[in-house]
Amino acid sequence: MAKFEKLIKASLLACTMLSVLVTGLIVLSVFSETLRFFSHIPLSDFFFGTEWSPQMAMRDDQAGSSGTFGAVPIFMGTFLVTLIAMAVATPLGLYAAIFLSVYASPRFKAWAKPILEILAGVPSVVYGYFAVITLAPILRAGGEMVGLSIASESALTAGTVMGIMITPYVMSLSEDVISSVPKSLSFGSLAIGATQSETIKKVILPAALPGIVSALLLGVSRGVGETMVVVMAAGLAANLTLNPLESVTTATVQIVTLLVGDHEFDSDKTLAAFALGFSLFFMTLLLNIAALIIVKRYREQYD
Amino acid sequence: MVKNMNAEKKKTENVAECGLENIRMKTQNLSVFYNNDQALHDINLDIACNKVTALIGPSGCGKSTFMRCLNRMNDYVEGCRVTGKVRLDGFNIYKDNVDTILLRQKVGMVFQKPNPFPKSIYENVAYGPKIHHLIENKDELDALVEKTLKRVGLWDEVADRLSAPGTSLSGGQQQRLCIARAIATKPEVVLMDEPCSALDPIATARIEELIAELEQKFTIVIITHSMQQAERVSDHTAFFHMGHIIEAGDTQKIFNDPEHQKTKDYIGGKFG
Repeated sequence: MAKFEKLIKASLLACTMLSVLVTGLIVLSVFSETLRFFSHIPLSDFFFGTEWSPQMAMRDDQAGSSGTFGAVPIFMGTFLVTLIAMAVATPLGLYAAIFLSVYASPRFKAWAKPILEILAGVPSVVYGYFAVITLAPILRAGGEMVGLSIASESALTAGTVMGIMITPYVMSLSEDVISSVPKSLSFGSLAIGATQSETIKKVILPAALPGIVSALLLGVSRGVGETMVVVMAAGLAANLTLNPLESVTTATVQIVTLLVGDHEFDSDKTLAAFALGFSLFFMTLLLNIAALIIVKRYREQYD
Repeated sequence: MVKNMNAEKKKTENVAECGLENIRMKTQNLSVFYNNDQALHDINLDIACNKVTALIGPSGCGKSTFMRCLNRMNDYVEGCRVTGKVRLDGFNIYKDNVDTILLRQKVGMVFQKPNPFPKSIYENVAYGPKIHHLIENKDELDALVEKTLKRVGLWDEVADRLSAPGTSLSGGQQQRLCIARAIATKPEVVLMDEPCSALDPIATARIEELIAELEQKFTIVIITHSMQQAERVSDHTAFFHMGHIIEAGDTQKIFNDPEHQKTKDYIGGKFG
């Protein structure tokens, strides 16, 4: 029997180690390819260059044969799309969370929350479809009415749809956080004669703030890493702009386009994808760590 | 403008003179139902002005439910229905058009477990007066916070760290902070639901001293499971059992010469 226990324990350990190992190897391979990329292209060109045109020569003597790898427009595009997404997801998700955790009757919450959580399970390609087929034409028509020209693959479209996609995620996380604020605090406030909304504003939200911030950070890191929606709804051209009506591109879109098709995996062009991927990985890692630290500090307050 | 007028009104109404017959609150045929279960049956109880009334009885006897009727906190309990009347200074607080906000400014509450807000000590005390617009400027607020903290005997302990979080205090201090928070809105009645049950004997003794001092200015209703505490701090006692008041009256009388066998048994520790 003891042997059997040991066997079970060993196989569980093996599973754990395997996933840790795979993660480690992925990071390592991306990192080594990134190093290779930077052995060809200077760091400063990548992080501070404002022109991105990674085409490679078909022949050695072709004009404009060497690509330029200034990633600023790409990071800017990623930033812009994520910012728009959060501008949509933060109020929607937060207000829905407040309603569900404070105002909604248990019966309403019992069916509404699962439905909203199903939204989080919709494949992102469906959201992409929604962006291209439904939202982009609506936004363009709306823009025309007020005399604005909106690119069909605008940052606004991609960001809005991404925001809708992240909303259930932000909502669900914030709802958990708000619900975990001790009831005794709200009763304390209500018993002094504060109204429900004063109680939310002055007691519940401040108490839940660290958790909400970390929920938002996790939402951001999802947005930054999201691929399918932006591949379908955002553009390919690396425009350096903060105008949400224009077309922008994001890091994930560029990675996809750089790696699609027949290429050798040692050209600067494909290696650039690894550099972008590593930058993304690093950014989301930082965001997640920040979120974890904030949540941890928050937990300590009530235990 | 309306807000200012309300603030004026509240201030003038705040003169806590004891009215006719020295009765501050009065319940008449008060019954409470949770969905279909009746938790309180036709409770008639007078709560004397600027005295301490203790509610005693075994767990589940309805004393907490009764207390929550006095400031309508039962409104927040799902499926709770109240019939009968609860009068504060003669006015039925269960009328439809009653402003529960104003009611709870006049009838404050202290909970079993200290529940200071995750704010500074200062902000905890200032919370109520700010909400009810009882103060006009920062100086007035400062003065009110100081006065209130002095009244609960916390000032000397926290004067140099008013901006520290309320949760950083010890349990007994936190409970005194919560009492300060409750009396900062200048209520007439303070409800205390087992305020010492989470505290050690020394902190408990301090709260009991405090109750004796507050009695001069406030009408206090206290729920307690400690017979000694009820005897020490209260002037009147009501004994609840299974949703009925078995006996109510002068504390000395209840403890020394109870009329009902059940009261005698409960106080004597035969059940509980």
